[in-house]
Formats: sequence, structure tokens, C-alpha cells
Amino acid sequence: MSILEPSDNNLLGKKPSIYSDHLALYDQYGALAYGVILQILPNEQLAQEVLVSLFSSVSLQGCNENVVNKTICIIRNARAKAVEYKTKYASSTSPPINENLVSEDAIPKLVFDLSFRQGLMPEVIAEKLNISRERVLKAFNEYFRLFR
Amino acid sequence: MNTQTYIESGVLEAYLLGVANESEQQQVEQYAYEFPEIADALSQLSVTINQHFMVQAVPPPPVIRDRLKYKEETNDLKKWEFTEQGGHHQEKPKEEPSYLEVEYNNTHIKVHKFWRPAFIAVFVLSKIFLILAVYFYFKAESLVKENTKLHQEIETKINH
Repeated sequence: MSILEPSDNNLLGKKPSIYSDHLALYDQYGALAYGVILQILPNEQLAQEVLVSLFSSVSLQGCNENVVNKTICIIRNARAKAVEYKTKYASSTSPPINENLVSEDAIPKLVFDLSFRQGLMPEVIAEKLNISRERVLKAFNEYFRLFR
Repeated sequence: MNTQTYIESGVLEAYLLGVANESEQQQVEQYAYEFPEIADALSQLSVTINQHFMVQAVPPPPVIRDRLKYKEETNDLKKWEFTEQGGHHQEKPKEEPSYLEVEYNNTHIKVHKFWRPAFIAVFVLSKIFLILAVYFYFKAESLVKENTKLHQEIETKINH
């Protein structure tokens, strides 16, 4: 089990009892989660549905106990939920990419967009851009190096 | 192992964003446990990612909080099933309806489904009563006329 995922112990055979935790989490991270969801689903109405669904789900309960990576946990859950809705309800056809026209400098941003915002797996991105999977992962490193 | 190469491979970023596959996730957790440099890099990276997304945070409309509070009050948090698979307890969402409940502050009310046949019955009965009322009205009218006519005939016969 991932260290960022909710621990099983608190969920096992136990219904959620402290609902106010969700509201407290929402007050603290609602804007962050909404920002993440809007990046994936620009439709505000749908994004708001995802936000409500996210903060109503028990899967966030684990984030409460994950003090160090609470924000990362929220980001991952918000992304997963938004991608799930995008696949279900929104037209998720990404524009075709001509790999010959993609410059080396543009790869990090493009990879982040295709992976985080469009929900594509690294293997699919590698195939689309005609690059290796290792190059796709390296692009994540390059993308965040710009913000350090 | 060259930890610096591993740190720069992008696996840590993929792990934190939740796009790494299962084996990569396990590998990152294992290496973070074994190598302090990787644990530090992971920690620093999580701060960078936090800052990156914090900048792009958008305050949601206040009605969302009201909806969550309403859900909390009605205990409407999604129920989850737990099934044991391979020693791991996994959570499974129950089947969701295929529609989206979009509006919350609307002017409509929800009533029990039995109100529909009740309403139809009341409507049909009201029509039957209306038809009967019209029928008996005209019938009574014709009887009054007939009665008047008979009265006149009787009076005429008495006079003769």
C-alpha cells in the first residue's frame, strides 16, 4: 500500500463517523482541490460536482492522518476523481499531436498536460510523442525543476 | 545505486502525482526507506508540488460548502463496501446513478411516488363528478320544463 494512500485500519469495518473532518479538510484544501479539478475539467458546473463528490467520499479520510503529505494526498485524490468524471461525462478526446513538431523544450509541459490534465498513462504518452517511457518520466522532473 | 540519477529520473514526481505504476510506487517507497537522499528529495519535491498547485488554487463558490454541510447533516456520505482481495482490503464505490444532480437551490420539491397515482385518481374522479353534475343539471332543467308543461295542460283541461 502506498504511504500516501488512506490506511486500511481506520476504514476496516467501520463506517465514517466524524463527518466534520471532511468539512475541516474542505475549508483547508477546498480551493486547492478546486484548482486541480478545474485544470482537468474546465466546465465549472461539472468541476463543482466533482468537488462535492471528492469531499463526500470516505477515501479522503486517510489524508487526514497523513500529516506530511496531506496536500499531496488531496491533489492525487482530486486528480483521480476529476479524471474519472472526465472519462465518464466529458468528451475526453485530446487533440492529435504531431510528434515531429514537438520541440524538446515543449516536452515537459506537454507531458504534464497529457498526463495530469488529460489522464493519459505514461506508456500512452510515450507512444503518442514517439519517445521512450523513461523520457516521459524525465519530463516530469524537468517540468517541476522549472518551479524550484 | 546512483541515487542522484534515480532522483532526476522523474519517478519521484510521477509517484507524487499518482501517475507511477504499481512497481514504481513500491520501488520509490522502498528506496525512500533505504536511502535518506531519496527520502529528502521526495520531501523537497512534495513541497515544490504543493507550492505549484497552491498558486493555482481557486476558491470554490460558497454554495459548495452548504452542499457539503447539507450532506453531512443528512449523513449522505457515500457508503463504501469493503472486500478482501489478496489480503488487502479494498474500497469499492456502490453503483452510482447515471445522472448528475446539478441543482441544489431550486424551487422544486420532492414527494413520494405514491402521490402520482393519487393525483391521477383525484383528477379522474373530479372529471367524472363534473360530467355527472352537468348531466344532472340538464336533466333537472328538462324535468322542470316538463313539469311546467304538464301543469299548463292540467290547467287547460280543468278550465275546459
